[in-house]
Amino acid sequence: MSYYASILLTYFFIDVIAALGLDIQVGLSGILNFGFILFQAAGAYTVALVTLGPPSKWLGTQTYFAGWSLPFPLPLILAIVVGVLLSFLAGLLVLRRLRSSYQAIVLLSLMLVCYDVVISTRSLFNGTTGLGSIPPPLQSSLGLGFTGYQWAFTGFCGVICIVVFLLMKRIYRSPFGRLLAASREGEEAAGSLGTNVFRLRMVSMMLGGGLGGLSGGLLVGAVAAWSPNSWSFFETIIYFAAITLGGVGNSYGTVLGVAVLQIGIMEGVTYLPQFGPPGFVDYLQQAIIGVALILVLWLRPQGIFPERRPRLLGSPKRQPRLPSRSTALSSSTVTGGVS
Amino acid sequence: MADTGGASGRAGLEDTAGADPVLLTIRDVSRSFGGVLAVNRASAGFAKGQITGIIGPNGAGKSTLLNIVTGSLRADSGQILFDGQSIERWPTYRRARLGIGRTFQLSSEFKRLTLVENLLCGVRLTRGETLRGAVLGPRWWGKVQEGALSRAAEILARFALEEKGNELAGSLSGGERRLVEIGRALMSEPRLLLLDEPLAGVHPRNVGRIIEALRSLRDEGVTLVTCLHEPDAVERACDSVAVMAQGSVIAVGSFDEVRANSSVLGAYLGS
Repeated sequence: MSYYASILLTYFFIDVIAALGLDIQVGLSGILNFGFILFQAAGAYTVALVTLGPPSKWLGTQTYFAGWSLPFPLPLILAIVVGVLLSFLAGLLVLRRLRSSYQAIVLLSLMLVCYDVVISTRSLFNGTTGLGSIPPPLQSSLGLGFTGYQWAFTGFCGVICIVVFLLMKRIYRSPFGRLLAASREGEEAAGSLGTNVFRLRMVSMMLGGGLGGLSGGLLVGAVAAWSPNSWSFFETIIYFAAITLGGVGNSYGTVLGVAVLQIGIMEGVTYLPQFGPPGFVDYLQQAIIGVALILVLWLRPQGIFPERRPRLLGSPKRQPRLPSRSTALSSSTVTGGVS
Repeated sequence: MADTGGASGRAGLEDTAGADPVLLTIRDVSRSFGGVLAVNRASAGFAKGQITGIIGPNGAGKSTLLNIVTGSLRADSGQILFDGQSIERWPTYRRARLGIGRTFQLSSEFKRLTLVENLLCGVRLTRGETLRGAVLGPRWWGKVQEGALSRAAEILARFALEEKGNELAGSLSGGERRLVEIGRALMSEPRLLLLDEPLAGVHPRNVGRIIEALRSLRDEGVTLVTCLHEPDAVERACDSVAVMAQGSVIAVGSFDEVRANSSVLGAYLGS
């Protein structure tokens, strides 16, 4: 039970980091990144490649390039760097010329192209089989038992998660965050006020990509394996569902959304008795998340914790929140008064 | 407005002797969309400290011209001089930092930001506008923001919106949204303010409020150029008028002068 709890908490912390990365792109900046999972995968593969050692030691059962044995925390730092670089390239592709919906299509296409390249080129990351036996960080040098190490890793992920959460809160409340929100609401209007919208969004894209890479690096440390199954498009949908359910543009909402979706629904379904055709219950997991997403968008599109804006004038007691029927992912839906 | 309509159908910049110093000059600016020539070698000079109304029939190229000046659209050819500096290749944000503010034909307030946040977006708070500044926190950028907040509160009070400072801009009426847009542009202390149909969709009771705001800005030294449709508003608000038709500036002068101009009557009536 203790081991199970630690695994669950580890996943929770890692998913919160990833969802915060997605939320700064989608919720705060209005970049519909349907290819977000690519950055997580990049971080995970990076950690695998720089910790697995030379491919020759696997006697042909695993093939990949590079194959180093870098000490902790270099693999994690590299995971962040690769996530940032990849998101920079993706940003160059989509941020200068494309509007939001087209950005979503191009980013999704980019993710699918990369996915196909990875599964069809075994020499990169061992194809569809993926990479296994990835050494967990510091496991041998800490000298802890199996469960002890697992809890230590959970604590490590928790600390990183808290640091990331606090940083995101600072960013959301800062003039930088305000300008990101303004560029989300009206790109042209923000530019007309002297904001370099492209640069601003690029920073947001890279920040989200870096957090995606970090989450991938931590995840591969937790599960010691990574394959194309780990980063299908559905994984992106889960993160989207989490931030939508919790409330886009609200860090607390993101945490709650991850808790409800990843722990409540994903884990909850595993307790259901098996029924129907083989594998039916497993697929039910995806169906329930899909239905939950639809229901949230229909009934409470602003999420459980809607985005709150600070009261900068006068008493900071009550913060304005979005009207209940506004659409969380759109900038043009707040109903205004009659002129 | 610093020039008068030429016989060729475009305003001649050479006729500006003795007029107020020119802040904005456009020379032979053209822009086409596909086969449609929206702006056709338009030339004009806009004098400092005046409200100039740009009028003309639908499709005359008024909004396109404003978008070219602000950088939202690139001109195919021609030159734009702001205070003597050639800016036609500059991106929008650089023109804004130089002192060109604008409002839009369709209200473009940031709906999910509060009024005061809308206004703060108009001022450069360099300390907190970088990722590093954001991470360093309010101790790093708080004082600078305090100063900007005072100015925002003043502007809100000027437009009688101080009570709504913490409300979301999307909850305002059409007229109030226009005022927020103007206030937001004012936060950047522009030397030139371009307003695209500032009275469109505004309740008649708010029209006077907006015109009064424009005139008081003019009195403070801001140069204003505005596209307008309503003749009554043009007469009340503008010191001079430029008339556009088929992409060109065909007449410039006071409201009474252009009203008596046969080219202008022809452009409106089709004769």
